[in-house]
Amino acid sequence: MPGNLVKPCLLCRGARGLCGESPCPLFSVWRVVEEVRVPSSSLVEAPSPPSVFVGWSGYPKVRVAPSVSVGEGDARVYDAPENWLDLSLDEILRMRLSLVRGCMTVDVRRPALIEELRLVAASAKSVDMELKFSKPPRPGVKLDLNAPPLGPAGIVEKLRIVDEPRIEKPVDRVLSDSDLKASEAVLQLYSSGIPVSRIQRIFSVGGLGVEGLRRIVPTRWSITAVDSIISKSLIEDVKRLPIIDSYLFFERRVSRNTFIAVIAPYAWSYEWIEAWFPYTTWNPGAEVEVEGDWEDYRGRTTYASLGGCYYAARLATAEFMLRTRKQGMAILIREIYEGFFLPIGVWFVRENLRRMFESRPEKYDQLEDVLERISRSTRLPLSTWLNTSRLLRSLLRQTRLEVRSL
Amino acid sequence: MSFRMKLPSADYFSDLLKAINAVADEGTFKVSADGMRLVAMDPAHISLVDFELSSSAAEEYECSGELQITVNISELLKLLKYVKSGESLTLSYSEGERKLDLIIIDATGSKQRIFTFNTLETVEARSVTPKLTFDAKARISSAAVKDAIRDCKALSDYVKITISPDEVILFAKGELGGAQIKFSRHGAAIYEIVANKEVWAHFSINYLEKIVKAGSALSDEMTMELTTNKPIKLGFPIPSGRLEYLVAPRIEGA
Repeated sequence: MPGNLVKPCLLCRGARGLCGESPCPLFSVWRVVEEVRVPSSSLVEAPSPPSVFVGWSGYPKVRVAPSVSVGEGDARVYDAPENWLDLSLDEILRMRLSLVRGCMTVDVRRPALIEELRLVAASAKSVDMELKFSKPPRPGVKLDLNAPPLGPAGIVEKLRIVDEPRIEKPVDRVLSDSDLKASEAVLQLYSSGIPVSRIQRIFSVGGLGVEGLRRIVPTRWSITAVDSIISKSLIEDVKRLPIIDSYLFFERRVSRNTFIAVIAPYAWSYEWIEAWFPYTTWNPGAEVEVEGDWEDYRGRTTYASLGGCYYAARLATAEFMLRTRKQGMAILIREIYEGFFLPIGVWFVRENLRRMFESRPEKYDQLEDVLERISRSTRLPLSTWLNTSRLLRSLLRQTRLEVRSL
Repeated sequence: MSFRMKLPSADYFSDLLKAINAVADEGTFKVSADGMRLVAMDPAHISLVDFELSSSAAEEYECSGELQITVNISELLKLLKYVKSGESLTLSYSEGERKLDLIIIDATGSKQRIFTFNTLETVEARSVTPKLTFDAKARISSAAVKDAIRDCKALSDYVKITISPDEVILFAKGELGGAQIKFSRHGAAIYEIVANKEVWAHFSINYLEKIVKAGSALSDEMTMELTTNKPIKLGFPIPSGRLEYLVAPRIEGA
């Protein structure tokens, strides 16, 4: 990496605006954290968006935490990342930190113990809930690798569901089908138009699968499982589509992130590359870290090294190709700049890419032109992408068999 | 029109399908009185398989006219996953039903497994294999090449293959270092080299690995035919048939 990168946060300390952001993103996060209102009583009655978080530590004995919103506005939005794209990160954080969690410890093999929560998690509207804590909830912020942030928490002694959850027909069908495999159930819900975030929540509370094999699944695993199951199935359909006839270039800049996609006129394959600039969520160091992972036409059998974002981005890409009825080779790049230090959740990638793929792409006939276009959009030089990207390198160097059609 | 073929070994046919599957998930068998042939490419058009099995490979063979049978090879292989040695295989197909029947009979004739397999629509985009000439040829142990590719894979995603009058070299270079595996013309792994100059090209290991793994299960010996920076032809001699591949090179500079 070039050594001329400054250490903006260290030099600026919130006073000099070196990153170009105002107010200082670090300060504004702490301001949001300070504003969090923690209920002072040990009895809280409030709407649940619905939201149920399942932790992973202690597996198979995990913490299951339904939460209620003590903030303002429509509670439903608080756990529906599909609706967060037009909010600022501060607003999202403020919203998330006003979710109060009531924690209980449950063995993942006994989803029947949280039967009631299963319906809450599956509800299409917010559900009023009464949480009786052993003592008033502690303030605090819960951050996770894949899931959005969460606010104060306490051990829940008693939980009462005050009003009826609303369960839509397709959801009811899979919840009560004890012969349907979890992966099939996920696909059924998706094709009935149930949002990915809700499918993930139902998956997590052990609502899906063959009777006896149903499990409670930690939220972070369930998010990726659902992205992976759906995109894998969509890719099978993508591979039957005709191949696109030119290069497409997409770009989206948002919240100190740049997303880029190049769709090349070859059979389906997919690559996801992340470049974390210094002092960002997953890169505390002073150098840019670039990592990528990819799959060819036949897909992959091992878990992608980059985890959640790889699968969330793959879902958005496959959805785009199915919608436009063309397949291609997809190379996706994300640059994450200084100041983006809060693990916000995988939804950020999925929803931003969905939005990006709705925009009008630029078209190019020549590989050289699209490479030049990439270099105009990213802060890192083209050589970085050519060194990291298996698919870009193969576009440049791999020849094809010339076969005449009769 | 219909077709029926009995092969003494179901296991062997499964290996042949795996060899096709190293390149393509789907393919069309052209079946005539002489035998069956399948030419298929991978979706990225980087590799091609040319497979032929003559009617003389079969114990019993009947075919009236010419037929095209398009199948999903990966799915068909699932049916043959649990065949045991000594089991025979009879394939039959009639054009009206568009279904391929597979009858697997164990060595003692006491158990029959009968599968019916739906075939696919044949897409009439017939293509011909590229006409290529080669400057060099080597006959070499397929197991030795398989191991050499495995060694190269540890360091890189592509390999440089060189055939010179005196040796065959596989060379890989990656971020962590390089690997070079040399086979001298006097060594046990080389059966023959026909070359009057050095030729070389780079290939994606991904493609070579699958092909050589499947091919080496069918033949101890393989041929490599090469011209500098042109597609390589890999051949695996099989009884009463042909199994050949083409792989397009990567242009990496010398």
